[in-house]
Amino acid sequence: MANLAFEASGLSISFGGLKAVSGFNLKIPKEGLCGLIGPNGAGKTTVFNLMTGVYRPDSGEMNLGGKSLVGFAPHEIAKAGIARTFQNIRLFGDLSVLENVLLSYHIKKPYGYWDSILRTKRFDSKELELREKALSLLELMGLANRKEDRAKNLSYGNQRRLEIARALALEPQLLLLDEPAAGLNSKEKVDLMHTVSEIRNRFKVAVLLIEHDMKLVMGICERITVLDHGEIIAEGTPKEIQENPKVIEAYLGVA
Amino acid sequence: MKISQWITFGIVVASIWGLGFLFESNLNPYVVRVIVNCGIAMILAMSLNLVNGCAGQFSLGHAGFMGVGAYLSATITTLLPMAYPELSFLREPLGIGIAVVLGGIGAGVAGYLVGLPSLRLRGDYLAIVTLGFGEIIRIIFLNIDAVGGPRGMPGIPRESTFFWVYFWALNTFVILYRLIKSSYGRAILSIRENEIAAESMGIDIAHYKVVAFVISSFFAGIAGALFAHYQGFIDPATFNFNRSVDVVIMVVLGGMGSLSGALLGGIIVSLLPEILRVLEQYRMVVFPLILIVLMLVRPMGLLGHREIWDFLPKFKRKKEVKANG
Amino acid sequence: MEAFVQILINGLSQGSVYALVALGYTMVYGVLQFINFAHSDIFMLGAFAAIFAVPALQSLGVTSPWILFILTTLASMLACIFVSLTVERIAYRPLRKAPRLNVLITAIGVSLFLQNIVQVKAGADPRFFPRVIETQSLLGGEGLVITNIQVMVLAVSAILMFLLNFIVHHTKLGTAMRAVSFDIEIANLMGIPTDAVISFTFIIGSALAGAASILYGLAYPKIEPLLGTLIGLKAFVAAVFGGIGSIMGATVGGLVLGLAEAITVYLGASTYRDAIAFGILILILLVKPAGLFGTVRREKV
Repeated sequence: MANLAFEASGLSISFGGLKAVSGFNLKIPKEGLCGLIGPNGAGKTTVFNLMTGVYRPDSGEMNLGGKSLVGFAPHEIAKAGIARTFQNIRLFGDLSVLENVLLSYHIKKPYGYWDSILRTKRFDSKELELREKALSLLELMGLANRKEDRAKNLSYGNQRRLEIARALALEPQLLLLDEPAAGLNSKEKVDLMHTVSEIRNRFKVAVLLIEHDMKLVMGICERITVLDHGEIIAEGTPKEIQENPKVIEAYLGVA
Repeated sequence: MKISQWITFGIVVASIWGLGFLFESNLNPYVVRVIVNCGIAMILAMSLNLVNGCAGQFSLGHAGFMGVGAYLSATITTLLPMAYPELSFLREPLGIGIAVVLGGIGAGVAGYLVGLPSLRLRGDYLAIVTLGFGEIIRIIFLNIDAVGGPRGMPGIPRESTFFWVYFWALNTFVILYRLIKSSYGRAILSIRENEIAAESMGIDIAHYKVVAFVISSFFAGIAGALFAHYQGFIDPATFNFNRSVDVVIMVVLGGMGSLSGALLGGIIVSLLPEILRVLEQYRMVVFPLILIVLMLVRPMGLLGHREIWDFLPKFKRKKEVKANG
Repeated sequence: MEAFVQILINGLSQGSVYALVALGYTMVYGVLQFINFAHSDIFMLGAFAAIFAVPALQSLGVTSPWILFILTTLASMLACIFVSLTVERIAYRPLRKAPRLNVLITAIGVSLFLQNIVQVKAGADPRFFPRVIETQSLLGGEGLVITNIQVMVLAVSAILMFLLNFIVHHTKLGTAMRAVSFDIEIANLMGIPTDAVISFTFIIGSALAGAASILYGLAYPKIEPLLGTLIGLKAFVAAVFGGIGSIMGATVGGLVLGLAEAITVYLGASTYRDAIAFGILILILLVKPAGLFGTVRREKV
């Protein structure tokens, strides 16, 4: 389908007899901003892990821009065009903020080994170019003045922002954000909402986010999929989801 | 590289030559021997640092690759001319230079063969397997009579002068430094920092672990070849687990991940037995103790991940100017 | 038929020694998730302790070989336990939360330290294990040789393994050990005194190593400071083969290795006997790193 960034159908995986995700379907339109919600343990991060090759699905199909991704290793999926952030922040702690972002440009192999060893013109010009690109991303995320700091020394909110910058540097077609608002205060959450929208608009990238903060999800997502016990229980616009009795029951239990 | 960089390089090489001339003519030969061995230790430490410090993989078999480099190069310069007198040019400096490089390449190949299956394994398993492979390499040499078996190989042309050893140390430093401060270096460092994140950012960690391993083994082989052509004699016992541990201590002491730390570690570990002559008998008792105390008190070593120039104020200011400019 | 029984006896008795040492590796790995490199040298210390204990006991008037054997074994076990606990307290406990690599380096340091200090104090030359019990062939005949030592090794090992199994599966301590192996943080939160449990694990592991060193010494009297290296490596391979962290694995692994070596010797390739362990190690790490009974610990992404 030409207007879909990503499509998954029938994705399932079990861990030692426990079905973590079954029959997962998802359609993300090009430049779409979608949400994946559900109670704790519903399998949301598992879905992310399936989409990024960390787990291999037992069955099902998924493709990015028409190209099948099943069986791809995580680094191959990154190369294909899916970038992600992590629920538990996974930065390169001892590297600088700038270096964390610069790493992502490696997938495009800017130069060769000999260029690096002999410091050729190609090396110098490419490094400059990459630094400029990285810096503009950092400026967007408000981290430019901290570019030489060790990533592990950043504040929690900044670390989350850095993860997003790093993922964006991969120049992906689909950006997966795993609980980007976790641990942020309300002002930071509002900023995040603006940032995510701006990212989608400026970089023409589709976004799928896992979130628990309903205000955020309902605020920016165009379509939302609801997961419970590994299965989809609802899918639709924010309004449809808010009014769906099954969703209410899953989150709040039957009265 | 800019012309100015080539000129700087040339000046440094000339200085090394000058120093070598000075040392070899004026200093006690024993002192020269210590200094030369120190240079070889530096190459070993810098190369192991790439795997243990930068990639964060724990290799305990470095001595094995040193041995491959030593034996391969020695075979070329010593055994081949004996069997084929037409090849006596191999005993000349040029021939030896080629043999040293071939020794490095051979060690690199060995590194590839060992690394490819092993690097999928987790930390402690990798340590054991590399230890095992290091021992296997040693046992192989022990059993090849053609290279002398347990009696070793004597008669290696002793052409490794101060100059050649430190020339190679300089090359090793420059190459490894430039590699680390490049996109490839970032890829390798990301493996140490967070494998899962690195993979998700498109880094084929299995591939880069092997790359680090091969490059590291190459330089270990160079060190081994230089060593062989300095001693004039090698035997399998020289390249045993104790030697691998020595290099590990150098890297850990200096700071895992720090190139200048590796240099420092190499210097300290080489000079310590000389300074503490009285400890000769207790060397292998004191060294492990140092290691234990280091792990308990200062596991990041002297420099941690940083380089020595990160601490010099003049350089720091220069860096800030560059960073903000 | 005779050959089969011979291989079985040789393999199982040798394998029992490997298994006893392997159990130490596997149990410590189970509770702390690290390979105690120094364990093999604890084993070596046990043998040396016996070498010094026997003359001391004899000078105290102990003459009966069986009593001598039992007391020496106890002395050896005590020595091993003492050193092992000291090492755990001083070198490993402070690093409980440190990266695994650091502890590994420390363990290597301890191992080398023990080897070399014994070498310095007792000399590098091999010594001879006291002949507490004379070797006697029990079943004569053409090809089949079964010595009383072998029977003893099998019997003592079996008793010890049975005791261990009892402790692990039928006592509170054993349950605590299994809990700590599973998740140390949670065990702590549940009120289990993890430090004590870990100390006990070391005690049991080193006691087994001490016993193993006596059994080994009776069968192979040549003892030297570097003894631990080869036996330790083989025991370690056995533990990894069976699945490090699994007690069943260590036992099975040790016995399998013993049998493999016995078969190799029978086939006439005795120079490759020591290489068999390497071969098994590389094979299992390439094919199934978790080992026969091991489980892969998944990292949460």
